[in-house]
Amino acid sequence: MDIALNFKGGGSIISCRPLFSEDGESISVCWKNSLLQYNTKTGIIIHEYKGLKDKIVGFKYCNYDSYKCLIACSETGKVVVWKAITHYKILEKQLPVRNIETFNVIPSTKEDTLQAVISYKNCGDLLFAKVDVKERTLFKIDIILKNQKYFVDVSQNRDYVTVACNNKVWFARLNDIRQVPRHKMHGSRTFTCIACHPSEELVLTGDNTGRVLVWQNIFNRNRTWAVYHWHTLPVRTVCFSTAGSHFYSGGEECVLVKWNLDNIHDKIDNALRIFDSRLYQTTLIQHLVLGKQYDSGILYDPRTKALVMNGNEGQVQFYSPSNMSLLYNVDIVGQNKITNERDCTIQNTEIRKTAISKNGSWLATVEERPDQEYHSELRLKFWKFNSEKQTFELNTSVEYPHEKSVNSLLFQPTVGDDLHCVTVGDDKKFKIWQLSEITTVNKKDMAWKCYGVGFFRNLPCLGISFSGDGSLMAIGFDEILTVWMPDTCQLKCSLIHPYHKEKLRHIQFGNSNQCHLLVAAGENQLSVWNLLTLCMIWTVPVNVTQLVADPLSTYMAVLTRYKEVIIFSPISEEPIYLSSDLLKKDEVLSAAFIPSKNSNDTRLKWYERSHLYIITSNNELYCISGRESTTGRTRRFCVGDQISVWYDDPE
Amino acid sequence: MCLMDVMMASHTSQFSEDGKYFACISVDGKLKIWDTISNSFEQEFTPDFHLTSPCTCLHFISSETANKKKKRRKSESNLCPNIVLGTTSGQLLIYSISKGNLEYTIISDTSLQVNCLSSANQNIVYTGCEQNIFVWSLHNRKLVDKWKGGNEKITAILAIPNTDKILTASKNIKLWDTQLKQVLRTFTGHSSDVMFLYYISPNSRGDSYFVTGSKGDRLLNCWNISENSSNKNAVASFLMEDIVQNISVNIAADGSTNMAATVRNGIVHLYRHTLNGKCNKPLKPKTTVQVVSDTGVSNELVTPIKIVGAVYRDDEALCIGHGTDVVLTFENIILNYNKKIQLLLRKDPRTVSLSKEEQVSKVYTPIVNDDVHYLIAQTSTFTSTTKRKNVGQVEVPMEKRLENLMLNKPDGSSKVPRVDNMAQLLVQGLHSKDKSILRSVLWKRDETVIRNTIKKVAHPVTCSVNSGTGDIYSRKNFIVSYRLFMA
Repeated sequence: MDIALNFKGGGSIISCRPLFSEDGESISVCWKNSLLQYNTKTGIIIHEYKGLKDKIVGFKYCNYDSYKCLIACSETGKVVVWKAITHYKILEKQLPVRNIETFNVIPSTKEDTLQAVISYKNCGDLLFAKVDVKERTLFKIDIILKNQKYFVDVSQNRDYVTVACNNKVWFARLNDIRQVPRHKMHGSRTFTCIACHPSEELVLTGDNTGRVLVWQNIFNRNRTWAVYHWHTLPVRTVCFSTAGSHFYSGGEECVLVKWNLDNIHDKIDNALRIFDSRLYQTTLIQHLVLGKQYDSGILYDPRTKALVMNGNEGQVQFYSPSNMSLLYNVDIVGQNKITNERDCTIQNTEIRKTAISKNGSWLATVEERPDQEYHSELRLKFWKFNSEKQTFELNTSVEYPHEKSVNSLLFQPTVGDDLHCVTVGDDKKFKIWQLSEITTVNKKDMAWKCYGVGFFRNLPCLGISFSGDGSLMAIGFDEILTVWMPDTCQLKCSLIHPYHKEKLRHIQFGNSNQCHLLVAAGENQLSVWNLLTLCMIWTVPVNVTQLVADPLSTYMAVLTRYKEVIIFSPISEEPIYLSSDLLKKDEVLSAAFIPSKNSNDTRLKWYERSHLYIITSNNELYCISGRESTTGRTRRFCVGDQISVWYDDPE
Repeated sequence: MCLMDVMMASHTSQFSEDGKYFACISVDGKLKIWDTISNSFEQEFTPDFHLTSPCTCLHFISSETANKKKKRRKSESNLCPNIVLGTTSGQLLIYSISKGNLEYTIISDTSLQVNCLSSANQNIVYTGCEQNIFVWSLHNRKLVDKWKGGNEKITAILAIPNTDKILTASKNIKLWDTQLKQVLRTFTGHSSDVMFLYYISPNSRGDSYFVTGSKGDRLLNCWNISENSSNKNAVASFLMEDIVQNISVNIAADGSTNMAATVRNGIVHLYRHTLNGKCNKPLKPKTTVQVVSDTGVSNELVTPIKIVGAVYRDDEALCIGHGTDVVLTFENIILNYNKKIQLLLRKDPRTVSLSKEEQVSKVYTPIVNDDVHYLIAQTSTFTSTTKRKNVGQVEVPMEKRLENLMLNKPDGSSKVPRVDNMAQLLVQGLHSKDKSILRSVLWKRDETVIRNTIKKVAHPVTCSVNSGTGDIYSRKNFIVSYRLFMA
C-alpha cells in the first residue's frame, strides 16, 4: 500500500453562487471539483456529482434533450452535463479554450443547443466569448480586461450579458456581440457584484461603498439607475427573487437586506444558510469552517474523536474527519462579531491557542484581541467538560496571564487530579497552572491558579513539550534547551551544543522506548539530545516548519519549507519516509498526528496507526495515510484497492 | 405488555451501519432520527396511517439504489442511508434521511403484518410476515417472491451477507437457501421466540457465526453456521441481567469479538471472547455500563437512566444513547475492562427543558455561569498561605527535616546518657597511638556505634586511621565498618 495525500474536507463551497432547483427542494453547491446537491429542508446531501478533474468555475440548471439537466464547467474547459433526475452523465465535451475563469450558461428555448458565455485567460488578457458547447465553436465578445477583479452575469430570459469591472460596466446583447455599450462611473467607486433580472432588462450592481444600483434602459445611451443605499461596507452579493419583484443584498456587515423591488444566500462563513421568506434560518449546510487563521493547530479530542481547530472568529470547531462532517462550533469568546466600519478595521477577539487534556475533560484556550492603538486584550480560559450536562463549562478565566501574547499552551499528558498546564509567553517567562482549591465568600471551589513562573537568563522562550509520562517538560530558551520538573518548577538541565546552535522553535519528547530522547529544531537544523548522557546524538540541517510527534508510536514528522514530508524516529537520523512531491501546491499551516480507527494494532505501519492531518493555506484539510480504499464496509485490512485519491477518481 | 415492549425495542431501534445515526419508532408511531456523533436530534417523521397501521420494524439500508443500471463503485461518500420500514398492513416504506421524507412505498397484495426485516445488499429485502417469508426488490419496487417458512410466526430474520442464505427464527432457527427455498439446517436452544439475529464473521478464515437473543431468555446464544460445522447447539452463550434488546459487535484486530448488549432495564453488558470452538460454560460480562442521575437530595434518591442503545466506535470506545423516548443523549465512553461496573452520573433527562430553537445553527454556547473564577495576573498566583503543594517526593516535610538535623535523636525514655559513639575515644587513641584504646574502639562490634563513630569523625581522620593502624584485626574491622558507612 503506498502513501498518498487524502482529501479530508475543507475548501470553499461558496466560490460559485449556489443554485436552487426549480421546485426549491434541493440546492446545489460547487465544492472543488464536484457538485453537491443538498435537500433544503434537512440540509443533508442527496447526491454528489463527480466527473470533473479540476476545479469547477460555473454550473447551472438547463434544459437539454427535453430533460432537466445540470451543467458544469471546470477551469480546464471540460463541460459535463448530468440529468437532474437520474444523476447520469449524458454529455462530456472539451471546450476549445483552457484557463477558463467563469462559465455562464445561456438559457435557450431550443432543446438541443447548449450555449454559454465564458471568460478565459489568454496571454495575460481576459477575453470573453460565447461558445456553443456541442459544436465547440467560439464567438468572441468585444470586452478585454487585464488582471482585475470582475463579475459576470447572464440574463435568464433576455439574451444579454453584463460584466462589471472596477468602475465600468458593460452590457452586451448576445445576438449582437460585436457592439458592447459600456458605462463608466465617476469617482473611485468600484463594483463588487452584479446580477441580471430574471425577465426584464434590468441589472443590479453592488459597489464597495455599500450602494446597490438598479440599472434600467441598459441598451440606451441615456440609461438610468436608482440607488439603494443601506450598507456601509462593500456589498458582497446581490440577487433577484425568482419572480423578480424583490431583491436581496448582503454585505460585509453579515447582514442580509431584503429590498422591495424569496431565494437567499448568505456567504459569510463557508456555510449555506437557507432562510424562509420570514427570514428565519431554516437549514444550515456547513462544511469545515474556514477560519482566518489556524494558530491553535489541530488537536484531537478523544471524547468525540474529532479534530479541534480554529473556526469562525472566536469559535472553536469540532470536525469529524471520519465522515467529513462538522460536529459543532463552540463559542469561546462569547462576543458578537463586530464588523469593520468603512474607514477602520475592527479587531475581533481571536482564539490563538487551544489545548485539550489527555482524557478530554479540560479545554484551555487563549484568546487575544490585538489593538495597536489602545490596550490589547489577552485571556486564558479553562473549560471543564461537564459530563452530566454533556457540555463545556467555564471554570477559570485569567486576564493577562502573560504580559505579552502566549505562544504555546499545553496540558501535562496525565489523567490524574493534579493536572498541570503550561503557558509559554512572549514575555520570556513560562507559567505553570494547577487546579487548586480556592475559598470564596460562599464556598470552596476548584480553580486554576498559577503556581510557578520560570525564566532562564532573560532569554526569549519558544516551544514546549512534555515527556510521555508528564514528569518532565522541555522548553527552548533561544538557543538553549532546558528541561524542567513541572511538579516543582525546578530546572533539571540546560543543553546547548557549542557548534550546532540555533534559535529553537520546535521541541518534542520521544515516546515509549525513546522517551529519553528530545528532539529540538530551529529554522535550519534538527537535532536530537539524549537526556541520560546529556549529549547531542545527531543533528541534520533541514528547514523545519512543522515538527509533530505521533502520540501512539515513536515516529515523528517534519514538514520543511520546501514542502517535503519526512518521517523519522528519534533514535536514528535515517528517515523512514521522505517525500518531496506529496505536498505540491499549498503551504501547510498546521499538522498533527491523529489516531486512526485501528490505532490499537501495534503491528501496523506508521501511516496506518495514526494519520498525519495537515491544513493548508487554501483552507483544505488533508490526511497523509495509506491510499484510501473506496469501500466503506471493508475498513479493516483494506489492502489492494488501488484507486487514486478519491476526488481525482475518473467516473 | 412487558414482552410487547421488548419485542418492539429490538426491531424498532437501530444504529446505522457507520454508527452515525440512531433511528427508532416511538410508541406513538413516529420515526425519530438522532445524529449520534454531534449528539443532536435530527428528524421526526410521522408516516401516514401511523395509528391504524403503525410501523413495526426498521432497518438501515444504503441509499445507492438510484444507480441501478450502472455498476457504480461504492464510494465512501457521505450520502445518508435510507431506512426501510415495515408496517402492520404489509407495506414497505423507504424513508430517505437526506430528503427528510418517504422515498417510495411498496405495497404487497396481502395485508399480513411485517414482523421483521433484513437486507444484505441495497436491493433485496427479506421480511417475515406471520409464517411467510417475503422477498422484496427495491430496484423494481415490488414483492418478488414469497414462501411459507413453517407453522410458527417468524419473529426474526437475517440475510447473510454475500450468500443466498437467510436465517429465520421463531423458537427454532432455520437456515434457508433462498434459491431452492429449502431448510438447510435447524438450530435449537431458545425457550421462547427469538427476537433478533446478528451475523458475525470474526476472522479472515471465513468462519461465520450468528448471535441470537430471545424475548424470554436472559442470555445471548452464539451459533456456528460455517460450512464445515454441523452443530445444532449454540457454541457459546452469554449471561446477563435481563432480556437483551440490541447488541453491537466489534471485532478487534487480534480476532477476538467484543460485544455490547443493551438489556431491557437499561444497562449495557460488555463481553470479550474469541469465538473458537465450543464453550461449555456460559460467559459472564467483562464489565457493565450503567447511567444514573443524582438529584443531590439524598443518597437514596439515585434514579437510573435507561440506556437505549450502544454501538462500538472502536475497540475501546462505545457510543451509548441514554435518556427517555423524548430526550436522548449520545456520548462516547472509553471502556475500562478492569472495573466490574462503570457507573456514569448524568443529568436526569426529565429535568432537561426542551427548547425548540427556531433558528438552526451549529454554534453552541458553553455554560458560563456564576461559578466562574475571574482572575487577573495578581490574583492568579498562589498566595503565601496556600503554598505550593504537591511537590512530590523531592520535598521533605519540616518535621522530617528537623529529625534529620538532629543526628543523634535524644532518647527520651532512658534518663541515663548512653554512649553511642566512640569518636572521642578513637581520636584520642589515634593521637596517643595507644593500642589498647584503639583496640577497645575498633573491636567494638555494635554496628550503630561504629556508624555513629564514623559519622562523627572527620574524613581525614578516618583516612589516617586507615594508614596509622597497622594492627590486622583493627584494620579488618575498620574496613568492614568503613564499607558499612559507605553503603
